[in-house]
Amino acid sequence: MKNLDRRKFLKSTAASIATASLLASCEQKPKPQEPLTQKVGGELDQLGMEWDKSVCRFCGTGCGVLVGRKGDKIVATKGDPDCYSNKGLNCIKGYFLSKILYGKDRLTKPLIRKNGKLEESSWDEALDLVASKYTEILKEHGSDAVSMFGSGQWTIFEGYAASKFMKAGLGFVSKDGVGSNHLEPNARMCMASAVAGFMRTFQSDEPMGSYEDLEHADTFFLWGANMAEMHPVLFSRIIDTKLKNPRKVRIVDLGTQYTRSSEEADLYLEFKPQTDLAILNYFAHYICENELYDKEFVEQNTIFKKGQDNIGYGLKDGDGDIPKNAGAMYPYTFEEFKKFVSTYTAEYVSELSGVPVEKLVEAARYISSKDRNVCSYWTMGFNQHTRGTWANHLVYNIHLLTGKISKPGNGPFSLTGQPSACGTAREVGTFAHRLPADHVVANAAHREMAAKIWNIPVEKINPKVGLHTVEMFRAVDNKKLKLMWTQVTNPFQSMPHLNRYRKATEDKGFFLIVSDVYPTRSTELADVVFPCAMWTEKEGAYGNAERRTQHWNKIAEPPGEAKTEIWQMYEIAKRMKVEGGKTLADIIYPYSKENYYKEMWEEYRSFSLGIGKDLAPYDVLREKHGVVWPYVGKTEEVNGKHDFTDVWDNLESPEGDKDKGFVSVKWRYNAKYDPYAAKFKKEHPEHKGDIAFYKAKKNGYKATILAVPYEPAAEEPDNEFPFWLCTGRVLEHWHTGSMTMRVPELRRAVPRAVVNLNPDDAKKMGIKRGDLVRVSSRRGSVVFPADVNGRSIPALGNVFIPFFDETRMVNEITLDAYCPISKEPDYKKCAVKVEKA
Amino acid sequence: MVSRKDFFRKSWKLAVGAAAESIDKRLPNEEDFSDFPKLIRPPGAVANFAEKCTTCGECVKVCPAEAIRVTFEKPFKKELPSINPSEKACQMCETLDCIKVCEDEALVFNDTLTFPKIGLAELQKDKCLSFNGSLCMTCYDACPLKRTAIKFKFNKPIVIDEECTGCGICEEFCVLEKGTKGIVVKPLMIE
Repeated sequence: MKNLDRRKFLKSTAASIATASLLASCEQKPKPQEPLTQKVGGELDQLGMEWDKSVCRFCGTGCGVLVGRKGDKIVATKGDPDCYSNKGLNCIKGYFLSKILYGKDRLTKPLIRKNGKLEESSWDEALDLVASKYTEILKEHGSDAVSMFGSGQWTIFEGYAASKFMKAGLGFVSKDGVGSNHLEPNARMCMASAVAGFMRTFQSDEPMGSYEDLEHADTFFLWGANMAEMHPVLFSRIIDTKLKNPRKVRIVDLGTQYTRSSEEADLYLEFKPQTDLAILNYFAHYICENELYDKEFVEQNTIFKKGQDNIGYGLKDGDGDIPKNAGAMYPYTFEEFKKFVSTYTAEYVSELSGVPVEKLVEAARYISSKDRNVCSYWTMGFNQHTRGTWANHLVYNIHLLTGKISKPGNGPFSLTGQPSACGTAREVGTFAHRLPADHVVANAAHREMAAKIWNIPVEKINPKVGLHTVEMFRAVDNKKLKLMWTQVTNPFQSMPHLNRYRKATEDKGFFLIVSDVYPTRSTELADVVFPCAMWTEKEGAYGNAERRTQHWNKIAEPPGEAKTEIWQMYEIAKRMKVEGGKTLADIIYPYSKENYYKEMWEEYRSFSLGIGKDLAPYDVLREKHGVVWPYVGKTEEVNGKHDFTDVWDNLESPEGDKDKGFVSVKWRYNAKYDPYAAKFKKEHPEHKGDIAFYKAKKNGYKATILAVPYEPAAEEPDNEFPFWLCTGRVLEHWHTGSMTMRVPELRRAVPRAVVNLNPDDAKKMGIKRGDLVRVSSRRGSVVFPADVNGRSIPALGNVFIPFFDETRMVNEITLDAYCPISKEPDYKKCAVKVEKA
Repeated sequence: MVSRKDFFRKSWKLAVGAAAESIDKRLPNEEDFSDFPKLIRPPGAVANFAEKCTTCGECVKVCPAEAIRVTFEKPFKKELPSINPSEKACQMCETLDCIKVCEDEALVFNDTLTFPKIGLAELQKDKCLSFNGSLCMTCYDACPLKRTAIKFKFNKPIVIDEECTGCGICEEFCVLEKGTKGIVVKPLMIE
């Protein structure tokens, strides 16, 4: 038999392998749209396993997974074919998903620092200590002295509980009688520029399209997004689309390094860091010059504005170098806009960016062509950018000018990096300035609403915007913050300019509480460590980049004494006494034991109803394999706002449930799918076209096209530090590697961070693959093994280093400059020198 | 004695073409060879390697990757050096000390500048994650001849037979368990 196999193999050629791979790819084509019928959970299969639905713990793609439990252990996971986000696919991290639970060094007991050492303690001792610290600091210094740093990996429930704890609860304990807005998620380092871009353009956060666009589009623009590695499941859907129509489909990759995505691309534009701003303006210029804009759409749906320029870089503490009006937008006209972008000629932009004119023109032709369906995808390349908000604006400009937006196969789509950056950080609003569902603390009406839902006096909610992430860590260094609680995140590996912030924690007057599942570079600095239940060891829900909320049940028991973050916050609140003999927990967590999560969800959901951000009811979430919001009911009794009977019949709901009286909106602002848009059209008969930006009331229901220039980066290479440093991820590891480095297979696949060099640069310096290389900046210096001609090939004069490796932390050299509007740090650009170690 | 060049050409021809038939003819007892397809010889192995090798163990000692090991081989009734990439793959080192130290003319230099071909990687499509709904690129990433010997097209790895040296690093790094590897190096038919 073996010989037969061998013969077959020997006769096969590379060509047949290629064909086979095509076939295999076709086999995995997405399932046709059909109602979800399969029900999992509860029943044992033939291997004695119980299966239940969940969602992958890693990136923002939000792949549905089926989780197999045998005994009390989770032993298997597989892609969930009934989840529309991934249609049964997984990446390699998802394949080994269950193993993240069973690393040998899981934290199972609370730890307290005694005489400089972390020692095991009982829960009571640790909780009492933390509660007394909180009370002491709140009574002495007020709520301005405490902060919480959370995560886009918080479950929605946890984020909501944390938001209540900080914003609603602490006011009952602190001496100044108001809550603290020093609540930030690590999503500030990930998505804040996208949020600012959405809010400033459409007055409503999160993308309008869905992953379904991947099948409907024929032209894909990847803006500094290595989707092949970072969102592999989505990229494979692009590949499937390409294979179905190779003549038409074009993938255009724009970036500063040649990646796996560039390899699959039809057109690759390698530009100098920061010049993406100029390229985007050139595209707008090309569209205006050749009159390729959609005249009717622009007239009906857009308004032109000019942004404030020269807005600083956030390099001085206290937003010192940022002008007060950094976010200002001034009235402008289309003619002025045309004139403004006309300075970005192909020749000028080519000289600035290093991209040949022909390539710029070709890309401009693709993005503006009237017979192409264009989708733009971006992640950290745009968001982690000292002009990140601008970059987001500029890509919307193009889609708004051409009207390629909010339609199947057309739209700008901001991908997320974390599983619940959308669901938790953005929708719950765990930012220093936010409340749930796009509400903000600075708005009195919003505070009123929140106070009513939370059943607390409105004065308890602090109207002053809290410290954003970088400022929060700088406040630790400046001894303004006395206490920080971090949950589900590892900032002391992931903050830029790490040396400064790690050193800041040494201060005796600063108390650090870390809730985590494994020892990390953050737990080693903590005063108290709480061991946590993770992923399917607790009930939870995540919201992914396409606005899909996915719920999972508790499937396994957490190890040892590990507890959920919800329990931890509840226990701390229980230990804080407030007036009237009550505890804080009675006020902020008034949920019954039996229906704790359901009651919390329904309370949270009431923020979202009636404003186009409608979340699905708890029972629907438990039932379905992910639900995309807005999940709008035909009639619902929420302040009488909900009555879509008159427009209901014409709505399309690709994910079903219309028979149950709900539509799940896949393309927002489009009257064919979105009841709010349909209703808007009905009420404004003069409005032309299907698209209506009904949330942009302030701008007369028009989306903003913003004129902003190219401005240089915060720190550019010079003679002393001649290289650009870009940081990021690799396929196998996720973020700081605290989970994936515990999976032996993933660890073996990529055991350490390497510095990726351009082969020509390496040759000039005499560096070979595997040589040790010292990479230094003005802030520090770290040694990495070199990889030449590796998976990613940076452009000449650029180096790339992933940040997952806790033994060599690249963030010791990165710069903590940030976008003055979104306050998101730029991890992609700083100047370094590279030498043989 | 086969000249290096001839050997190289011949071995390749054998590998792609008529190898299977000739092997069938030459196999004295198929059962005894049950282990045979898994054995990969060190770089530069001549056609009659088993005959030439005196099991002096020098190549084992000098291998910087500690990839070469000695096992008893039933068909030849003696201990012989070989490589099992699932455990430790040949690192394609530039020095090729294994060949230099061989005094038996069992391992010899070829007169081309290329690294001697010791096998050929074969994707196991029923096992490889990339062919089964989970996207993985470990073999591609580990391959010292990335983009040449292993290409990645349409989210799946492809082995380019002409370029693959059979070093086995892909097999060693494949994230799947030993015995169920998604890419396996098969030896060339030279014995």
